[in-house]
This record gives sequence, C-alpha cells and structure tokens, in this order.
Amino acid sequence: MIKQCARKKWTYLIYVGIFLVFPFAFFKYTAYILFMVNMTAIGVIGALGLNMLTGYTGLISLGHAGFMGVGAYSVAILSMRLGMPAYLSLPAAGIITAFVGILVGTPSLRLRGFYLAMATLASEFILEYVFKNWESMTHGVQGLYITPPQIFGIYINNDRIFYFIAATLAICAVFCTRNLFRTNVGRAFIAIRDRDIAAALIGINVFKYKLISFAVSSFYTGVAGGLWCYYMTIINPEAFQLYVSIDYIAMIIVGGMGTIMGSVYGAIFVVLLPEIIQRVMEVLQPILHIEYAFAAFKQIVFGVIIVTFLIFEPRGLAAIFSRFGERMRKKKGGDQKQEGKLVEF
Amino acid sequence: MKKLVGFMVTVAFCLVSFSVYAGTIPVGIYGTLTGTDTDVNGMSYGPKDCLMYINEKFGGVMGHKYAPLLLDGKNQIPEEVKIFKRLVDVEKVVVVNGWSTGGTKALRDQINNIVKVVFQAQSFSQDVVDPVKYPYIFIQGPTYEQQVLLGMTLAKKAGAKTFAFMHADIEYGRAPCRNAIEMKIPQKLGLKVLGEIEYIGAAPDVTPQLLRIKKLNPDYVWIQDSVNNSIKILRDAAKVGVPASKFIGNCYDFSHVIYDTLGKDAEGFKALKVNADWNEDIPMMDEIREFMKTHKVVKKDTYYMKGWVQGKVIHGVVSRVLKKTNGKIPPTKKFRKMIRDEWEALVDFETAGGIPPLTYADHQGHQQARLLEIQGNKYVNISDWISLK
Amino acid sequence: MSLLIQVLIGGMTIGSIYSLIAIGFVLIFKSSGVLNFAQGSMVMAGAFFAYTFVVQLHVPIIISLIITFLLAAIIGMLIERIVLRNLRGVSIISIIMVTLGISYMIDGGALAIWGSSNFTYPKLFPSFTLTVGGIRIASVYLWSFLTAGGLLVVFLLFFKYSKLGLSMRAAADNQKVAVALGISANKILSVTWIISALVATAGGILLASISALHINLSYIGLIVFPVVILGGLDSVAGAAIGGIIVGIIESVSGVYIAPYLGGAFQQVAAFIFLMIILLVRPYGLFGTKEIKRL
Repeated sequence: MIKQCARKKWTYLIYVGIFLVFPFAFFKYTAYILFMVNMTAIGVIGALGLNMLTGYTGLISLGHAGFMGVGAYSVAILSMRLGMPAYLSLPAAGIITAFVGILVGTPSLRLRGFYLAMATLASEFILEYVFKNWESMTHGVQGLYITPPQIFGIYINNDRIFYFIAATLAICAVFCTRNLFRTNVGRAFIAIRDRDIAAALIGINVFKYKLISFAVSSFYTGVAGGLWCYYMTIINPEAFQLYVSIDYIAMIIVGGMGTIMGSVYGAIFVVLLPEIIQRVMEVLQPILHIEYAFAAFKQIVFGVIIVTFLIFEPRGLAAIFSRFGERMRKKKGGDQKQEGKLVEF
Repeated sequence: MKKLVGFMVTVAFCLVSFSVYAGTIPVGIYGTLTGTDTDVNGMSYGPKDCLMYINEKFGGVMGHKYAPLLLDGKNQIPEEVKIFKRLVDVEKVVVVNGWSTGGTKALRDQINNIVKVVFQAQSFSQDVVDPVKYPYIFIQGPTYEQQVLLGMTLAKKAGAKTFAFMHADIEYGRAPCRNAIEMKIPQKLGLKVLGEIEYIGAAPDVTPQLLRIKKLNPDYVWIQDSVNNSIKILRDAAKVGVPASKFIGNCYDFSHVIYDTLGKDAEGFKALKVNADWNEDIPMMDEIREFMKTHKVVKKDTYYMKGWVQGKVIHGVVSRVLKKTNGKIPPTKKFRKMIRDEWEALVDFETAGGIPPLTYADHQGHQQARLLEIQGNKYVNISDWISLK
Repeated sequence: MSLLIQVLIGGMTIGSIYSLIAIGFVLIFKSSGVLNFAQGSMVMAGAFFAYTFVVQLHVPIIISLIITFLLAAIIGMLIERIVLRNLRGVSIISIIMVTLGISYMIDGGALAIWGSSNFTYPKLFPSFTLTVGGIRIASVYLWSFLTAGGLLVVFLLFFKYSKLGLSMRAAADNQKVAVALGISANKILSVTWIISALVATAGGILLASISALHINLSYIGLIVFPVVILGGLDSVAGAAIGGIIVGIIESVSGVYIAPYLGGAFQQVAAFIFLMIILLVRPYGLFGTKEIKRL
C-alpha cells in the first residue's frame, strides 16, 4: 500500500515536471506549438462548459460562440475601460456571461430538444448583431484592441506566459467539473438529461437546475472567451459566428458527451486535426496542385469524422480510450490492484 | 493508458511542426482561398505563381530558389494569426504576403515589434499604412479612403449633390465609409451624404436596402464591397428601378463576371482600377502566358495581375539585397531587416506594365487609380491614371 | 404607399424561395423526425449539378435537368441509406450533428470540385419580366412562386389522400406500429429523402438563377429555421406560408426598421421573430403539438 502511494506521488511529480518544462523544451518551433497548446487549453475550458450543458444536462445549445463572445468582449471592455487586472476581469467576465446565460435561458428553458436548439441559434444571431452594432461598447465590426496586462514586465499574450495561465486554468476547470458531478447538483443535471419528467416527479426542481446548468456552463464559456481575448489581443464579431458553435459541438461529440476527459480529447482533436491534414496534404502537394483543395479536404474529413463517430462510436474518444485502457489493464492482470472509480472520469 | 494518450498527443504536436519546404528563400503567402471574398483571391495565387516562374526561368535569384508557400486564411482572424505564426516560426519566411484588414491589424504588433518581418497586405485600409508606426507593413495602391475621395470627386464633376454609401456589415465595409465621413470628405466637396446602408455579406437578397436607396434617391452611391456582392446589389437595383449608372464601386468591383451575369442591368456601372487587367497588351502579360504553357492558372483576372506584380516586387527587393551581400543569404533576422530597408528604398520600380512605377517611401507603392465604366458589355476607360495624393 | 407595396412584393418574391426550401425540410421531418441541417447544402449541390451539365458539359437543357434530378435523387437515397439507417432513435443532438457533418461533406465536396468562384448561371427558363406596382419582377421569381405553390398543392393532396403519403405520416408518428402494420419503413425513408432532394434541387436552380452561383448558397439553409418554426415543423402548408411571411418580415424590417436600429437588421429580424414565436406558440401556425410521455 505504501509502495503504491509512493509510486502515485512520483507519477504526479513527473506530470508536474512535464507541465513546467514543456514551454521551454522546444527551441525552434516554440511559438507555433505553444499557440496550438494554448488554443487547446481555451478549447478545453469552452468544451467543458458546453459538455456540462449538453452532455450532462441534455440541453442542446447552438449559441456557444455568442457566449464566448460575451466573455471576450467583457474582458476587453473591463480591462480597457476600467483598467481591471486579469485576475479580476476573467472571473468578472465569467459572471457577466453567466448572467447573460440566465437571461437567454429563462425564456428558452420551457422548450425542448429542437426548439431549444432553435432558441439558442436565435440567441447566437442576436448576440452577433449586438456585437456588430452596439458601437459605443463594442466598437462594432472594427473590433476592440486590448493591451494585455503584464506579469513581470512581459505581456501575458507572450506564448509561454499565457501557457502557464491557460493550462493552469484548464486543469482547474477539469477538477472543478469533476467535483461538481460528485455533488447533488451534478447528479440532478444527469437526472434531467435522462428522464426529466421522472426527475420532476422525485422532487427535483427541473427549471432551477436547468438554469444553474446554463449559468455555470456560461461561466466557463465566458472565462474561455476572456482568455481568448487576452491571447488574440484583438476581437471582432466575426470570430464568434455559428461555425465556432459547431466546432465546439463537434469537440464534445468526438470527444465524448457527458464525460470530462471527452472535453479534453475533443478539444485536442478539433484543434490538431486540421493542422495534421494540412501537413499531410502539403507533403502530397506535387500530386494535388490546387491549394483550395486543402480546405475542401479538411472540411470533408471533418464531416466524415463527425458522421463516422456518430454512427460507430457515439460515446466518442473517451469511450474508445477507456476501452483500450481496460484491455491494457486486463493484460497487466495480477500484479497491480485495480483502483475502483465510482465516477466516470 | 493516459501515458499512451499523452504520447500520441505529443507525437501529433511534433508531426505538425516540421517544415516541409526545403527551398532556400521561403516566402509566405496567405489569402482567402475559401470563404467569403474569394472572388478576388487571384491576388494570392499571383505572387506564388510569379515566384515559381522566376524559379523556373531564371533559376531563382543568384542561384537561390524561392520556396513560396500558399496557405488559406479563410478571411478569419484566428486562422490568419495561426498561419502567420506558423510561417514566421516554423517556415522562417522572409516576407509575408497577407490579406485582410482585420488580420493585418491584429498582427500589427507582431509584425512590427516582435517578429519584424515585411508584411505586404492586400488591405487598402489607411489604418495599416504608417511608415513611422508600422515600418514593416506595405500595401500596393491607394487606400480605400482615397478611393472614396476619387469616387466622390467624379460624382461632383458629374453634377451630383447627394451621395450614399452601401457596404456589408464587416470591417472592410464599414471602416472606409466611416473614415471618409469622419475626414469630412463629403463636406469638403460640397456633397450631402444621405445615408450609409448596410447589409449582411452573405444575404441572398438585398432588395430592402435597394428600396431604401430608391426612397432616399441619392445622385450617386458608393459600393464599398467586392464583386460577389456588387452583382447582387446591381441585380436588385434593376429590380426596383434604380439604374446601375448611379453606382460606383471600389477597386475590387472590377470584373467581367459583372456584365456576364447581369447583361444590360450592369450598364453604366463604374469602378476603380488600380492595376492592369487580364490580357492587356503589356509585357507582363507575355510572362504570364509563358507561365501558362506549363502551369494552370486558377484565376485569370485583374487580381491575379496584382498578385503577379507583388511577386515581382518581392523578387526585385530580394535581388537587391542579395546583390549587396554578394549572393550570400544572410541569417533570417538580418535578411528580414535588409528586405524592409530595400523595400522602402524602392523608387520608380518598373513592373513591365502591370502597374504604374512603384515608389515605396510612403509604403503604398503608388496612389493612382483609373475609372472604368461598363458600356455595351465591356469596360471602357473613362479617365486616365489619376494621382490620388 | 407605393413603397410599401414594393416592399411587400419584394418580400414575397424572396419568400417564395424560402418556402420551397422549407418544404423540403418539412418533408423529411414529417416522415422521419429527422431535422435536416444539410438542406441548404443539398440546395447548393443541386444548383451546381445543373450548372455542370448545362454549361461545362454542354448537354441540352432538358436532358441536363433530368440527369440533375436523377443525381439529386441518388444522393438523397445514399444519405438515407448510409447514414440515417444506422441512426434510428438516437438523440436529437446526434441527428443534428450528423446532418451538419453531411453538410460539411457536401460543402467540402463542392469546393473541391468547383472551387470558390462566382459562376454565372445559365438562363434555364424563358425569361420575361413583369412590372407590378413599380417593381420589375424577373420571370424567375414567378417560376419559383408557381413551383412553390404547385408543390404545396401536390403535397397537401399527397399526404392527405395517397397511400404512400399516409404511410409516411404513420411511419413518422410511430415507427414500430407502422412496421407492424406492414409499412416498410426503409422504403418510405428512401422515398422521402429522394423527394426532398428533388425539391431542394429545384430550389437551388431557382435560387442560383436569381443570384449568382457560389458555394455560399448553402447558407440559405439557415433561414429555413424561422420559416419552419413559424409554419410548424410538420406542416407543408405551414412551410409554404411561413416562407412568404418570413420574406415579408425581412423586407419590411430592412426598409423601415433598419434605419433606426442601424446595421444589417434583416437577418436578425427573422431570428428575433423566431424567438417570439418560440415563446408564444412554439408549434407554429399549423404544427401539431408534441406530447411528451414518460
């Protein structure tokens, strides 16, 4: 038993070590790789938010991009107009977005399924319109620039510094979500997803929990949007359109709806896949001369993957990996005691 | 199991970060190959083809071949930022040929202060042109605001008293119109602006907007948008009975597709031209024809010509730099700085007829435009090259 | 006053195209409960096929149209067979994402084959213009009006009186019972998708005749949603009438409201309208109310 604890400690130390050393490990391609990692971290937080709403509570949302936009614009306005430092403006953006989420949710949550999806779609377009036209706050289509705050004299949108902030927040988000689903609140969400009428019968206030789900999910999304704003330093309405919502839904479907690691896998997948395809196609370039074929191919592959996952493995990468893990563990068989896990990680 | 996943992810990250191109002078080009705005993306294919042509005909420059890399920015800022980082970091390009106004603005800091690489943008916005603040950004042609000035001057000459703007709900549409109004151009010319009418870029139908124009009845209307949407505007204008001769478009409204599609509904539509058209009788066209013997040209239009000129400028500048270093390629940072200095020092650079001779002291190359009008299903020049200083 | 009439007519003309596309959407929902987010892509693909045959391969128009419709039917059937047959009874979000995935595939395929330029659409119909109330209406709009109206009548009769139509409604309502009654669910689904693909192609040809041909045509799939919510998800008549109403709303808000609110208001107007309907009468004008059972 003591041996196992010691081994666990070493494993964690190694993980922490990798985490710290990572951004300094690549001499040549630092900015590019870190860019991908940072975008993935933002994606993880956003995907966790969406998964909470759609995967765990069963509420379909097509308006995710709009909420990210609210978070991004909140951070931009708070830090530029009010000079708020990052450790205040990010949570504030989360709270503002949660508030907007409640506003959108309250009328919409009477609806179900497709109708709810439509309501969120409408809210997506309405938010987009507000971003483009509330010029006094958002500067319209010109967008907002921010000078990101500094830590130790370096701007935080420096890829390395941002990595530490974003990756840390992403890991926090994962742990917070995991704990959430060990509480009553989390279980209420799942109950609502599975059988909401029965849930109401056993005394769960369905409407209240749906609203909480919307609020918490929007909080996560707002923080993700805020991080995005700090990283890009310029935001404009075009960055928060429908395709972003669809990307996030793809993340949780491919990753695994209703699982936490699903959000992580999905985010990694959606960020990396286009790049991998691009590189493969560049290598094949002498055969296929036409550059726009790359974009076409990426789109087709994206579509094929979504459809394939939905047909063959609707529970996503999380299910695939956990099955794989089960098989590996069975092979290792007798020498290690299996740790029982109550909640699906 | 988690270790396996971690390993796979690391491999994946490594896969995407090696450079495929082994050319000696890497040049990065990105444009909207897919998405909105694709009707003018000939100007991203142009530089690549031009550099390939130079590689083939002259063996590159002093024995060093160019390695042009063309990527798709999709007209989305995050995508363009990602591509920029890749080009600059992984591919180590010495020149970047960018695209959108928004993307260029987003990267201003990176381009001028952090990375310091020459950036030739396709945008014409005056917000990116400033030799002092943004020493590394160059454009080619008069800014949109200067073009609006030309459009309004033309209108004034034709006796107009009232004017209106039409544009899409994106930065490219709004900013120049707003800037023009802020700079009080209409007042200076004595024109009254009746309205600024906006529409959704992807809308299939703009009849409501045209009905508003009909109601406001301005003498002239400036279209701050490209061919795709101009076609829709003119089509719906014909529907409600507003003649095409009331409309003036910017430099991205010049295309034979307009009269091919609309026929007599496009009669009288005016637009600006800032570089030569396809198949014009100029030496540069002969080069392109030679290139076409062995390669396929994706977009045969005036924007491709603009791109080709941009390729020539890149080649011209790099040649001068390499002459100074006696054919040796300097380390990347130094190379980029030398390219910038040489670019700014270009005076009266000849482009074999593609464009008036270019001088880059003001980072614009040239500030001339010509007016064209559609008459009898073809374009007729209705003015000479006008300088817009 | 005459401006108002022009606004209404303008709205009705574009609205008739919306109706056409919405009818295709509603057909699929009515018989299989599937929400086809790929409808816009099917519209675009249909238009491109016709273009290819007429302009690029120089096949005479009538034959081109026949081949195009055949191709569309095959694609519709393929989608149904390969994808949806394996996805019976899954959650709504899965259906939505599958059809979105399919739309990505179609859009990507179109991009790869035809590229992203603007194409001039050939004149497929005898062309004349009619001037009503000060607006010149091109013949295309009249054709689309007639087509939408004609299809409406055909489908109303079909679903009410024909055996196949009744079977389709039965299958949509309760698949298990329908199968028990001897209705072949598979055959019905194939037929539904084929019909819907044909309708989409017709809509695409008309739409491309009005604007130019570009892969962005698939965005019209988005405007389908306010229309079908207004009309009722399972009502063909609702789709037809809803399309016209949404067209008029866009037109009116574009001309009268936009000057005050600024910006490009028309698209948002349709979606604000959508929200209002969802709050007041979610099942639309003619839709049937859904009763959720435990």
